[in-house]
Amino acid sequence: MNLSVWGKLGIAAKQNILLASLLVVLIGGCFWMIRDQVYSMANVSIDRTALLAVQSGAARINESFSPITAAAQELAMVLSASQPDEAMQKKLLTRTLEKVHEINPSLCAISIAYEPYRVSPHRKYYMLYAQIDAAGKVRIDQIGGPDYPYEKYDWFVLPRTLGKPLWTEPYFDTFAGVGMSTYTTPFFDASGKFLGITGFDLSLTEIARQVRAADAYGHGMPCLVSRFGRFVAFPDASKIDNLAEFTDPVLNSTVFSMADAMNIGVFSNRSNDGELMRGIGREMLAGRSGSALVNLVLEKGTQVRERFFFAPVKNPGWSLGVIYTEKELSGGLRRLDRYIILFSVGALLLMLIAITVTVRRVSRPLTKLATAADVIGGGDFNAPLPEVSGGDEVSRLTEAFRRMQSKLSGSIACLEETTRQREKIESELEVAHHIQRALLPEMLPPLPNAPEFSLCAVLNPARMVGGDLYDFFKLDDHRYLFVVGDVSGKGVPAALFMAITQTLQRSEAERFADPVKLVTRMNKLLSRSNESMMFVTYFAGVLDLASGDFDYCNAGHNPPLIARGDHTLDVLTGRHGMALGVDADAVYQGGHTRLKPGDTMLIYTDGVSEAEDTSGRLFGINEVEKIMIRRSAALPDIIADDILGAVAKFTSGAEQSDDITLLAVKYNGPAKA
Amino acid sequence: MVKFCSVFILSGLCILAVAAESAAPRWRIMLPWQPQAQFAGFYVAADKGIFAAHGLDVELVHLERGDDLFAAMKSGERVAVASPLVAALQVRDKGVAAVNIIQIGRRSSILLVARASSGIKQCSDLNTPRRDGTRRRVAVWDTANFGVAPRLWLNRDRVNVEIVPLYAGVDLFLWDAVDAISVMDYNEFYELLQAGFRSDELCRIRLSETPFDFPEDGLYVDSGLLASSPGECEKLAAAVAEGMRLACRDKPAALGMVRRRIEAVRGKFDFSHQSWMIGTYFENAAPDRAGFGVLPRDKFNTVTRALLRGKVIATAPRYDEFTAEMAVDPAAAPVSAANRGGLR
Repeated sequence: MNLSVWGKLGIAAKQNILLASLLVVLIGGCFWMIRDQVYSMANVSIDRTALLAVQSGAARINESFSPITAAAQELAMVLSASQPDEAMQKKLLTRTLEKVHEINPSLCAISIAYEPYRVSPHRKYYMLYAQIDAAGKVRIDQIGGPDYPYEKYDWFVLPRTLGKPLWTEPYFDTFAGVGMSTYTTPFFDASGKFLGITGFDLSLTEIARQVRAADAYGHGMPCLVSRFGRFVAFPDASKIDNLAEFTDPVLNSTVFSMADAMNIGVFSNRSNDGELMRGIGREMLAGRSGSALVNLVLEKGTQVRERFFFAPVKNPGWSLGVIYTEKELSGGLRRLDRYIILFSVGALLLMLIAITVTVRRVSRPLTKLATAADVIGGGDFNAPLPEVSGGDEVSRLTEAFRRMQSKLSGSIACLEETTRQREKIESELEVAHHIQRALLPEMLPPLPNAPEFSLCAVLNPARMVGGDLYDFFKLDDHRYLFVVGDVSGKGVPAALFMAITQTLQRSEAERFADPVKLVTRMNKLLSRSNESMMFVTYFAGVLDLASGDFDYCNAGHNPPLIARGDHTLDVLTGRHGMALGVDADAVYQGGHTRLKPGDTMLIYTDGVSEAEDTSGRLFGINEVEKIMIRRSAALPDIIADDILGAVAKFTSGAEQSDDITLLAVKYNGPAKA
Repeated sequence: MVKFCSVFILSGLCILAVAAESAAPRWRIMLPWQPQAQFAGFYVAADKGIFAAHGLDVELVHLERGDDLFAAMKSGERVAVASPLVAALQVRDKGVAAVNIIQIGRRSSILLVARASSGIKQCSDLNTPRRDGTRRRVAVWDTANFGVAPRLWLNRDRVNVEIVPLYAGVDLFLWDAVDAISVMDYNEFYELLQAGFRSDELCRIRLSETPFDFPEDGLYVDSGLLASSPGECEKLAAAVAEGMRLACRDKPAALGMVRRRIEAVRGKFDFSHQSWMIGTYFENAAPDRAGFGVLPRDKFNTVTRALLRGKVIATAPRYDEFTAEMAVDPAAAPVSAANRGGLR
């Protein structure tokens, strides 16, 4: 028998595979649903936290600018309302610088610069420059002149042209040696005429520290960019792969030059990342707050997905950003992933172990039961069964198996006894069969002392013994008696009744040579003490060998057929009374016909005409009549063989339902002297 | 004795050779700005030994803003000045006998840039007033180098604008303090892009497409020096031409030299900016194309007429006086054998 791989697996293995599959699907599905939700919520939270930190950082930086802008406006107001008195202005500058420097130590200088020739038609340059010297004291100098034509510089031209204060783009101050941005404020006289500019120089050295504070998670790359995208601070820029090879970004590069570098494959391997970075830069310059994704190649040379958070620093119009590696940003979530996966795998393994143990507890007794069943199947009904306890299904199955084993053992003993009985009966029936056969006359055709006729008699009982009978014997020198009977029912009772009938007719025929008398006498005898209400159809006929005269009496039997020598058929249709054994007082009459030399008479029982095929159809008598006509010239045994062959062919495959008896007699004419 | 004489003679020859080596004429080339990709050709000529191959000992001197480019030329020493044509004509007008020995820039790199959203697409559009009714403001350099051409152009077309003197950078434009600004296409224009502008957000009017297409950088020597050392001047011009050609052919390698020069003066190198500069500068200079090397007579005449008409100069030199006869023909200038394989 071919079994599939699945079919060869044990119950435990099948259970494990099915349950493991189911659990993987269930746990996996739950995991992904939960993960999706957790990620979604956590990402929102992470993003919000990061953005809030950036916004808070931007607000803090913004606050650090406020004292400067406030002081600058105050100074401009004072200068607008006063004449350019150098002594007074120096005091004012000293006081203002000391005061603001105390609040914001990054303020390193303040200047007052007048429009050329505004102070005096004879004096082109007037610029007071107050700074904190190395000793922490305020030092004030006049620095304007042909060597420093301040009126040409952006910090002077821009507020003059725009008429409003502003923070200049960050620049590297060669005098101070540090990055600076200047808050420049124009001041005007009462008529609105432009007088000059105040400049508050802010060192950007300390701002990097403030920028770092915006990194909420401690692993980002914070940066501060100016109004026009220039990097003011980018303390961890070196994390970007090869950045130093291409630029030193602070005060030198902008977000957009970085984007250009990315567009040609520097810092990024993807062609559109430069445009993404450019888009981020434009958002920052527009003073917006938010986040965006971009890919960067970091120190290890691998490109990573980065999330860029940004928020405006409103006072100078700058923007604070923090770049986080998305993988690090969601590092906590990834740890959660690992924990959930480890837990799920662990739970799955434990469940499989538990299932294996449980299933084996069930399957082990079943395996033993299967082995016991094999032994029992081999004939050993005393095969030991597994010992089980408790009331579970396996225990009940084992108990049921034990009871089945016990009952099977009893049934086999009973069957053996029955078989012995049956064999005994069959043996007895075999004896009875031989006895019954012995009751029938010996077939020795042609009879050596009766050349006047030929004879063939056949009796095929349906069972070991049957109820049909036939007989023929010589009554006197020129007469022969022919008898065929069919006892009702089958088997042993019919055989016993047949034996009685056969015995009676032998003894009574010697006294009653006339068939009618013989039948009448037989009926009386058989009807006596017939408690079982059995009966026998009976045909008896006496043939005169010299003349061919045939006297007969038919007691409820099938009408015999006579095939004439001229290929015609006669049927001895007359019935002269009911079957024997039914009514002791029944009256019987007789019939007469004459056989001519060459005529063949066939006496048969209903086992021939009522033979059934497999579908229950009856053979009938037509085929027998045809054979009789066709074979009228043949010897009786040939005719009998043909009829039995036709019956056998008709009933092919079907069990013989009744005893079949044929007695065929061919009259040859009187013996020649 | 023979051996002693041989050693003596060989030693003498060696000393003469070393003396000849150390006697290589020392030149200074004055470059008009801090180190940047504009001067890549000079760096290549110096770093790859092209000057030396021509028998010259050349020092490159970067000047600061406000320095007198031609001051050193007056010293009588071997000095060459890399200067825009307009500046050279102005100093010539003031008596400095500057002679062009090689013309590097073939055309003007000056752009007038406005916001595309302002509606300014050509010079005449600047006549339209601002929203507040005031005149348009245009930032133009106040230097003799590059401020002249835009001013002459605006004057000729009588454009009614307020010219705001531009000292440096593009902040005036970024802050929207001016409606248009003059920039160099290889330098300040990129600063605008670096500040977040897209190209399509800027309207560019090229002076090279106007009658004020003044060729820019050239190399100048004093006429007296040229007369006394014509061979050295020719070699100098040839070496510079060769450096320019090599820099143009292998810009990445030339950028490496630019970087070293910038960092040598503690400057900050920005790859994107310098890449833009070297690419754009050599589009204008194009040392592999015809016209490089020799200042075209018609261009010279155009520039001098414009300067005279604009009263920028009182007198103009004759072309033959202003340009050296031996000015280098770039097509004929050979590449030094050592550099035929490129810069790597």
